Amino acid sequence: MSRINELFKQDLKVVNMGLESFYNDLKAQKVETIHMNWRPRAGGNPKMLALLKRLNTKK
Amino acid sequence: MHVKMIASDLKNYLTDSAPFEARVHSIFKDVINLIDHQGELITLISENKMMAPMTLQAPFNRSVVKKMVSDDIVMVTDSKISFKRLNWQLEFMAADVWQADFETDALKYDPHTFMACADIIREALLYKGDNGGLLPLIKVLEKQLQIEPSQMSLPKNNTYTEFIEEVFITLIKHLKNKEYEMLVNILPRFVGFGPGLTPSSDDFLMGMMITLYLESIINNQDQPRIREMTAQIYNSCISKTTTVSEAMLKNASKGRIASAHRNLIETIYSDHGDQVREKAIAVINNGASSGTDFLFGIYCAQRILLSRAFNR
Amino acid sequence: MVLYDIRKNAYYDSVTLMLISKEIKQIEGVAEVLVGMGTDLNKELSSNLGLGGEAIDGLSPNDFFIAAEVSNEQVMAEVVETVARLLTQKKASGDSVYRPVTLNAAKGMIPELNLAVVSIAGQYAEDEVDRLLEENIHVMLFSDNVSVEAEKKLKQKAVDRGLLMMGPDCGTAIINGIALAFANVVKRGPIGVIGASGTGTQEVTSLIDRLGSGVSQVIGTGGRDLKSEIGGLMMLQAFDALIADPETKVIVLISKPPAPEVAEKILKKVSETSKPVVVDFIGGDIEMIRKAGAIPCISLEDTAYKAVAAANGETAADFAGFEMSDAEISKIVDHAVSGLKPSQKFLRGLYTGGTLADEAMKLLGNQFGGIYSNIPLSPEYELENLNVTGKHTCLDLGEDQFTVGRPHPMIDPSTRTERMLKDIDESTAIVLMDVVIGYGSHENPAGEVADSVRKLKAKVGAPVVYVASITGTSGDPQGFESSKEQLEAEGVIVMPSNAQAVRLVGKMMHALAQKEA
Repeated sequence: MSRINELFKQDLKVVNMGLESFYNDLKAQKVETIHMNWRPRAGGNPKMLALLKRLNTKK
Repeated sequence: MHVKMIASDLKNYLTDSAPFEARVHSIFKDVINLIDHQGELITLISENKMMAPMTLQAPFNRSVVKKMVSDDIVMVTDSKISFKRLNWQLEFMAADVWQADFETDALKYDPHTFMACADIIREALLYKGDNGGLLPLIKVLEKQLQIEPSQMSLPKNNTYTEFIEEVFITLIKHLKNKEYEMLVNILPRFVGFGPGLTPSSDDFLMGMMITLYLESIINNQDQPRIREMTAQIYNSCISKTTTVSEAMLKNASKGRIASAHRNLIETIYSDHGDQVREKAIAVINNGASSGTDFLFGIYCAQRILLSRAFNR
Repeated sequence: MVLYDIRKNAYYDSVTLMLISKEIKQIEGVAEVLVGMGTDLNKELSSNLGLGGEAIDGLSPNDFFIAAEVSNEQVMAEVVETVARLLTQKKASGDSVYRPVTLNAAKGMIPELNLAVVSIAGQYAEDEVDRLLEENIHVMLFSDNVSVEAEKKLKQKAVDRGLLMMGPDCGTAIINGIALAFANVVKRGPIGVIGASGTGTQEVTSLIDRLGSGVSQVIGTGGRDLKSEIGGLMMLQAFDALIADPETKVIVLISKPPAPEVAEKILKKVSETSKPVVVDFIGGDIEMIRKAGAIPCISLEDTAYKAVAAANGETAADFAGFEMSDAEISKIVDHAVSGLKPSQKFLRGLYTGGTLADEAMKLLGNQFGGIYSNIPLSPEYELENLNVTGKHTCLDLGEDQFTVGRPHPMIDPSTRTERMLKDIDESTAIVLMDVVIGYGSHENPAGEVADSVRKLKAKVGAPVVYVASITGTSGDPQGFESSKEQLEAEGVIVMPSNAQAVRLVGKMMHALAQKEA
């Protein structure tokens, strides 16, 4: 049985790297999750940086 | 730091009782409980949580909360709460007041809408409810009241429901027959039972009693007996369950519950039946099994009221 | 032997207590375990389960206990270690004061990590995903700006190890009932979905929920998976998994038309399973799908209808109409068009979901003199300078030119709000929009649209007709019903699906053309 079919039988245990809102949404669904503190360095993708900035100012 | 909102019952309590000393009871990410000289529980919440009775809402100073420990001394006056050791003050003179009581005049009861509502709640429970608390007893409830079973599959018994099933059957029987005094007698065999910081049976009782309490007010019947029953429910919990649960039951016996839960109940006793499902699911998402158990208590009360209304 | 862990006057939140209970139950060698507060009845239950003892007898209701029946000392040690880890981990999973910086630290906190959701900047993502796959952790890669070569390398590695590598540019998945990134809360059921497109998957799964069925797994592949350079690696891998999955009784594939040799590979797999396979290669070759023994579809909504029918052992005819009766539809069309002033001539489609915009364009086709867009059906209808004056237009506001330096409009509705206030005037007859709710989306997309409509009603001196559909379910955080209410309160006509909204607009445009004639 492939690892994917095994995954279907397990509880999800997630590591989130990047947007904190995804982590919050996983928590809201009662998933065991960890948020990794990943910061893009200067010169990172502007779209992603903008997303992160937006989410930092959102509440 | 300024408190954003204060519950009306807490405001009145502080006007009557302050100044006094309290201590920190428990600390969570968005909730801090204090216990005062009279054993009253006062709750501080951050802006991430919704209001409840005996609660104040203020922005949390995270670095301060990190250093807070149980039994830290707190000075409470009629305008300020001060954590001495941490030098953190919360002023609530200018805070908005959250009305802790239901606006009973605005509530309505119509048996047909109520029944549709009960079906929706059952569906939400079976679809999204947590099966680790008392929910598996739904099978027993529906059998007792001879309710047409749902198409959805029912959760299997767990260790807790197996243990408490007999007492639960008796409890339902007494409720159905309005034998409130007898119900109070068996409460020591029911309260403080199950998983969670607020044990499942307590959450269940809260949902059940607030639903019956409000119906008695709306339809103006049995009020003194129901009021007596809720007061007795609270009395039988004293020292039989956790401090937090006790406080919640006390508030519920006076007709006061947390905002999200109240939202749902107001919708049940209204003609906005289409919003019931969303609000039921919001309640289920509270805590681990707490929300489900509370909702199951409501559902139970609904079926009992309906069995009286339709004599089924 | 019975083991006790007692913490007096200790308060842990209920979710933590539940996690502890679940984890300990899964340890081999644990026959029975009870986790709770020391109330009389909980203590009595412990006794009944053979877990009673002096240690618990003396507890008060505010004391926390764990009582476990274990087969030997090693198991006891494992239980103790698990509890200790979970109770300190509570700080991380519950309260998140400590955020690990490396994958190793993360694994230290949750050793059985099985999935990673990665949304860091594209150029750094390749290394991170590579490391995750090495550790046999499945990956959902939301980031875009990952090169084709990197995608191929990572997906090959994932295939070799039997892992999921969803992405890059994968925005939607639902694994084991959990919505990941931009996804809706959909009932569990027998339909497995593999989608190369985000909002397409959202629309199909939301409709499956509304039609009373549910999904087993929803796997995203990322937008490029079915191009010839990648060869459909992830779709094929996911297809195998769903064929082998006992909970999946029907398989649905959603994507823009694949490269021909990739389509062939995928359709060949249909013959490897007796499960019905429903395929929407949005606008692609229907005959090819039918010849392969799969069920072709004419729209995202049709895909949902056919999947649910297949799950019920039935076949469904193409759903090309409306849920409402013809009479009701005529009434709506007549009422809308009869109120229009002579100056009102044009359609303004304003979409946040790319696939939904694409579906709208395809369904409206080349009627009405062509519809200009930033995603036109043919090059002559490319919108110059994004200037909409004087023509029918339909914009995909999620495309790059609109998202430079700002978040995607599904997260930040201000892009659409600005366009609405700019593009809608007395020359506008009809406005067509999608409203996508669910996890990942803005807190209240419907509210934002309703606000804009309200402002425009005050500003524009002509009765513009607004038509929308909501992609979402009643289980979503924003609430389907309350979203619908907010839109209808401003007079927006809310249709049950994007396809029906577009068809209604098509009818209105016909009626408008006839009125002008």
